[in-house]
Amino acid sequence: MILKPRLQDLKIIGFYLGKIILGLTLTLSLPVLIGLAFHEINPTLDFLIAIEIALIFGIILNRLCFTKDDLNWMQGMIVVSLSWLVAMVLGAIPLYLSGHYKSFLDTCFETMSGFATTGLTLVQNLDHLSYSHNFWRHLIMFIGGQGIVIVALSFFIKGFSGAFKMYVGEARDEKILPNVIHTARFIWLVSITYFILGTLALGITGILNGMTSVNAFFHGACIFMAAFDTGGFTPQSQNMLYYHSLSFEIITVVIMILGAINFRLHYHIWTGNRREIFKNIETGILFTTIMITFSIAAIGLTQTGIYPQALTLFRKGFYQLISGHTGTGYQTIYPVQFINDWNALSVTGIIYAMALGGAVCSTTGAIKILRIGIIFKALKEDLKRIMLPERAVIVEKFHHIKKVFLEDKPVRAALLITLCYLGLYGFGTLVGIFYGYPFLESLFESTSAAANVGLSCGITNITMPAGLKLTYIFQMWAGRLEFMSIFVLIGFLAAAIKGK
Amino acid sequence: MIKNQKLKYRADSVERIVFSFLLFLSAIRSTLSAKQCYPLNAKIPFFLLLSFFIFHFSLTCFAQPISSTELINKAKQYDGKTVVYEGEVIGDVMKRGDYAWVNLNDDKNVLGVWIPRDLTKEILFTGNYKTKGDWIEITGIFQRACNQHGGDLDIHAQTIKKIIPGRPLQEKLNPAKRDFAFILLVILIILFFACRLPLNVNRKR
Repeated sequence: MILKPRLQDLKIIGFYLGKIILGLTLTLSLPVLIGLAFHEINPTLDFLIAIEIALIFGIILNRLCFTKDDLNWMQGMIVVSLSWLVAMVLGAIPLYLSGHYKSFLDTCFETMSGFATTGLTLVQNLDHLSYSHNFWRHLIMFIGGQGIVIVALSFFIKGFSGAFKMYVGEARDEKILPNVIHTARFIWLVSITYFILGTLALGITGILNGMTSVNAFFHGACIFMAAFDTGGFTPQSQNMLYYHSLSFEIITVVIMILGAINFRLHYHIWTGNRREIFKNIETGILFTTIMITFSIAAIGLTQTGIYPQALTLFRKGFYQLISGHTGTGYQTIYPVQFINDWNALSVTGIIYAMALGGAVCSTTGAIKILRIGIIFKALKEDLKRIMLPERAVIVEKFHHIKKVFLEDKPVRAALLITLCYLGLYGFGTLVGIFYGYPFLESLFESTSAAANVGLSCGITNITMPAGLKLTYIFQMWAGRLEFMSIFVLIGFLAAAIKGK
Repeated sequence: MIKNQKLKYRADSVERIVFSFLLFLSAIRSTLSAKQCYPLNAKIPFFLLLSFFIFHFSLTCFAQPISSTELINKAKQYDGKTVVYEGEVIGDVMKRGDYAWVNLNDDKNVLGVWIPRDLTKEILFTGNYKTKGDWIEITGIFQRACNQHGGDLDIHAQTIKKIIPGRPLQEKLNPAKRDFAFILLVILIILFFACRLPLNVNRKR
């Protein structure tokens, strides 16, 4: 028997949702400062309107649903999944008012792509977008990469026991420090430190490459936010091709890899335990999968003969591959070149890389390499069990921050999530084929959306069907939250309809 | 105004083609009439004239600007060929030694153009939120995967011509947005006090 949700459940969900909306309101004020600094009148008004709407909703929810009760697991998960939808709509308001989007659906696509750190874009005439709107596009990647709830936890919600439930609901099942709030603040500390260093490096490179100093540092900040949070938006419509710079590419590769590393690993590096980099299972698997997928892509590119020089082949192939593997989505080729100039083998290499993703507790999406490692270890254990004598005691272990013995529970969880991702990739591919796109292109774009990558082979554009836009929005949302909180939300809605 | 200028430019191009075509027809006519009146060696200048106009006609056609979509989609076909491309200069003109990178937006895509530095002197406006960049036409060699620039799809420009000068864009306050923001502010203030008031009463009690 399914139990119908009580009014108190709705009140608790509404109250914490209201708190998160109020938290988001403060983030909307940052582009206002940028607008004022660059004397952009109408863009500043766009953000003021969005702030007012968000405040009205936040205050109403807080007032109507006021409660002192704490969240339970179900409520925490629902708050998280709904927060992302609400953030998508509220974040879309200033962008829609900019007049650079064909419809509100396109704007919602853009904000979900930003918050989920995907990087697929439907903006029109990006090269004439205001600084404040452009800054907001990149800031939402930074917020989404850390986690919308983490932002609220760090700054706007003072310690309560339900925090961990929301933290887990946002696909972060690893605590770095014993306290969730401290963990959230550590993630911010790491991000802000790298932000300063990364912006400086990119800004100086930009100036050396001939950009004006204002543009160089503005682009540096935006590119850092999108690269470290493995997002993929860029301030110009050409993506990374705008810069025509090897040094820019090298710096962004470093930032993308830093963003794809587990925050727990960052913590150990920061606290002086540098040996952990070499011992950790994730580092080893990330290196191996990069090598394998790059080999596939490189063989494919060699067959095409488009890049006759080895260095050029490496530069183009490796950049797209790292961008795909870390889930960033920066491109140094035009989207249709994947289909026109690359062959099926090289594109397949990129699809594999996108589907695997980076480390858990990082800003990347996709299956994630720790799960691949666990599944591989489980397979190895089962093979040993078959091949060795029955009496043999088989113990499989791996190093992930500490020595971990392989148990059935994490294997089951890893397999379930992997299966869900494969299902999600397949679902988007089917919808793409339904709308008349070829199989490989549909698979590429679907994997890119569901794994929160952002590489595009050309399907994502303003003329694509609304049904496909909605599908990709769903894929980005589900892929970023790693399913569980979305399944709980669906279960909650089903209980509200069918429950007794 | 810019649209009108663009149309005028296109009309000029069409005019050139039509003029060439008329010359071509008159050359045929001259050749045919020469066949009837003059011996074979006298026809040679007419054939030369005919060939010249055919050549001129084909050149005029080739000199039409090609869209970025065409260049990207048929990159293999245009690889290594001299093309004419036009678009608005956007972002920064990035100077690198004796050359510079200019990114040209033809309203569909943006292509990078590698251009001798002294040719960029003509560029006065680059497009962004507050500026409409210069609309320029370049002639250069198109590269699908340029070896010199790490495999980038680009054009190495040889000539540059400003078609439409850029200009600063005046931003005017949108009164509808201003009014909407004001109405929301009033609602917000009312809501704020409406929420506060009962709490104060409760505290007093």
